[in-house]
Amino acid sequence: MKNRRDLSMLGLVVLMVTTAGWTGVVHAGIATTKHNLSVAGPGTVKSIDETEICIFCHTPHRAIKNDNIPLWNHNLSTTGNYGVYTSPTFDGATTIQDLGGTDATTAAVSNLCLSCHDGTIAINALNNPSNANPSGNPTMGGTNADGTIPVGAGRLGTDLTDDHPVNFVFDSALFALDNSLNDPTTLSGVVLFNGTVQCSSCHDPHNSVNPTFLRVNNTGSALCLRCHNK
Amino acid sequence: MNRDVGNLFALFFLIFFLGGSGAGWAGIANTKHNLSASGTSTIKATSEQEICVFCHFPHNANPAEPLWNHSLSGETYIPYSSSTLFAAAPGQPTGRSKLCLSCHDGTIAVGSLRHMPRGGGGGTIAGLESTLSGAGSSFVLGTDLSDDHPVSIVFDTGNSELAPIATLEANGIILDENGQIQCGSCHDPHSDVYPKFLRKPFTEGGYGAVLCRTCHDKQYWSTVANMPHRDSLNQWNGTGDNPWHVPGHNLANDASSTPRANACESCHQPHGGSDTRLVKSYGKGYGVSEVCLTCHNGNVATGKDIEASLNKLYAHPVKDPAYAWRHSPERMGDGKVREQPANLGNNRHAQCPDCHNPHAVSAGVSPDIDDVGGTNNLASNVLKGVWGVEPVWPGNWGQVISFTEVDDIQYQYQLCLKCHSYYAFGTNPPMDPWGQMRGTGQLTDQAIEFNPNNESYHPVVAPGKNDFIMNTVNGVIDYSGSLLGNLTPGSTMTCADCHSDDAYTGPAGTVPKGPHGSDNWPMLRAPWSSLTGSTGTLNDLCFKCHDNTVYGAGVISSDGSKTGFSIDGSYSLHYVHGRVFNKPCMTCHAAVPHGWKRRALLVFGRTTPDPAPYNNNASNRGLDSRINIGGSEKSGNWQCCDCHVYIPVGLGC
Repeated sequence: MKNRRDLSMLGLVVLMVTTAGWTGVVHAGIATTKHNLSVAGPGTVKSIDETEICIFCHTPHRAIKNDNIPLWNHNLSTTGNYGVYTSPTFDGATTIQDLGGTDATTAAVSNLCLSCHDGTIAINALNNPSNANPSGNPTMGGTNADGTIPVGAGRLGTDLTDDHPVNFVFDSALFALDNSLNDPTTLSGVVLFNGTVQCSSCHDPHNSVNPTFLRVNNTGSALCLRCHNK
Repeated sequence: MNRDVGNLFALFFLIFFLGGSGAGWAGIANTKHNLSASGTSTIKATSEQEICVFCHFPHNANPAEPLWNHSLSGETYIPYSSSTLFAAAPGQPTGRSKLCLSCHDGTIAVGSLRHMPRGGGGGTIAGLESTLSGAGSSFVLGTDLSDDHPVSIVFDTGNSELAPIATLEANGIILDENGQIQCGSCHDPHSDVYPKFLRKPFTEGGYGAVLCRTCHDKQYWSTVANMPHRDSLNQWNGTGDNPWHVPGHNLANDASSTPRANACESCHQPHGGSDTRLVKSYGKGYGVSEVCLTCHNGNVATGKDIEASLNKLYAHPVKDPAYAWRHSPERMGDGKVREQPANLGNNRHAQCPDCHNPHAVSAGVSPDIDDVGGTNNLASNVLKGVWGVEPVWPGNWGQVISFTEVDDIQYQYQLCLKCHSYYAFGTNPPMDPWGQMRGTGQLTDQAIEFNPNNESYHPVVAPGKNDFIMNTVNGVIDYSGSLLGNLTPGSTMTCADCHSDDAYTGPAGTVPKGPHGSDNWPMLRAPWSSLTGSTGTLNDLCFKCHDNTVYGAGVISSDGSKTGFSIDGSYSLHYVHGRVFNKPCMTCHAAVPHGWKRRALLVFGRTTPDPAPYNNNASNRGLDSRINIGGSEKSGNWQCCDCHVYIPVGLGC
């Protein structure tokens, strides 16, 4: 279901890009975000020769196959162990799973993000090269020397113990256990993936209308308060 | 009304604009911990709108749990310490308390963050460049935590004055994963539904300090009936210091408040308190007793104006700044709180808690002679729950060197003796602070004097031995005319029966009984001197119990039937000596009339005179040591020549 919606959104983006002829200012779509890694991208980390946008993450063919992955094209990290956030008051500890040690078939949604953001894989490491660079990967600028994401551009590293927990189930049971969460069945704005919290629960990688790709404008910490009843 | 409407609006705002899934409570946005520009405090950002970011950040946090974002303080703190602490003393604050201190120690700018919002690096939020300073009712602990309730300390399950640990969480107190108390044990930084971000309301059912009492189950506090410190609804009369108010601390600090509503915080403050007992201070220099005298000065505790007594000429030095803070209780090896005898002896002091347990005290002093049953020597309600000593009594007039500590005294003397005996000062009693003691000027050892194995003593420890002050009339023993009120030879008494305020007029009066202070040396409820017993001393101390028509003061009856000092039980020799020769009591009786090694407190003044201060006669005056005063056979059977053969005054013996 969710996957299908994501796929349709991808189609929408493709459609919009196509019909608009790509002016770059049509709307607050991915083209105007730092996730536009093409030469036209607004960020400092971007290609100097690749004009396609989607290719850094998606490919319509020869994609990395996984039920969670919408036609994924970026090589996945092989990090074996990220660690997980722990707290005596974190009741999701019973369901949280380390994102490390996954492969193409077991990768969670957050593994897609980590394929760049854990800093172990070069940003241009694509499974299916683009048409413009059929024999290799796009040439990048603004990356670290090894092609990985630099600090300051959302490089989380491979230690996720100091990050908000992801890859845990947020269901009515958790809501009942924790006395300071909101009911997961009434959430709005934030998104669960198969009932789990993933990076994309808070971040919409295709849209940076809100800073840091947040799904909800965080004025008043509104995003945080969608889940947290503080 | 307006505030309620405002709150309602805020609630609508939260529900409507923030997703509406909240549980319907105020939330952090309406607290002073909302440091964003929308915050309710004067301490807030100029324009920053995010709320959580001042403490939390979802990535690369430090410490990781709970995703901390505020710059941490590197200060070294002075931790709380106490000689009565049951648990191991706390070290440097650890755990989440350090997070609170990252603002509340006052050393880090409030807006100093590890990650600025929306993906920035470290920085300081505009408008919050200053550290907490106490402005805007913010609370600064500083780096000296010795005057604050301990944190980062294991909740000790072995302390019987703490609630069972299993009950805490259900009652709203949170210990951390190591079983330690942290700031968050009492405070919920996300909610000020209750004042001061406390996890519980301050009062429940009118009784205050609910939160304190969730952990602290002070011995006697919940078991003693009618305890004013717990139950009183007295109000402050508006004079002097407001007993309820310490700026920034008290929660029920309006003038109409009561001991019941303030409870623990009538006397204590968990932050910024004085001494390790965290008592409130009023800057008067009395030490721990200041807080007592803020109510017991006539301004709250009606009829219990102790300060008036302490202001008398001869008083326990409760108000003398030189003695402040000398009260130094310790948790002893058996887990009980007492003071070391050496501190009682070498660091002499008398603070209110030396004699009273404020968590146990209730109204009721020792009975007076007119009360049913007369006096007794029991510890009264006002002395409930204090510790004292019970001597192991030696033989007649022996030095008492062995004592057993008693943690809830049964007899009043057990309290007094912990300071006024060998237990405190060994064989070297202190000097009389008022310089009126005869002889060397040293005070005496009351354990020696009240030893029930002595030949004679006032019946403070046991009923007296002088059983001849009675008269059998028609087969009925009649004490009237010798002992007053409901006293009998079997009566016992307390120290306070003699040592009380001179303004004390008995149970019906408004001046409290007890040795707080008096204008009569040494803290006596009535005048007493070397002249007592001679003309003009009808109302002196001795005659509060001993009928002055029998024993002295110049109006004595010659009826010898009411005193053992008589000829054939018919002719009173007290009459001869007191009235005819106008001799004061201490001509023959000990000048420290607590007790003595000879019968009837009789002291020798001639030949081999007894020493001062017991013998107060000038050289070669008083009883001759060659007189045979021993043995009860003399009672009612004295002859002039028993004594006067040694004193050539022409009686023809």
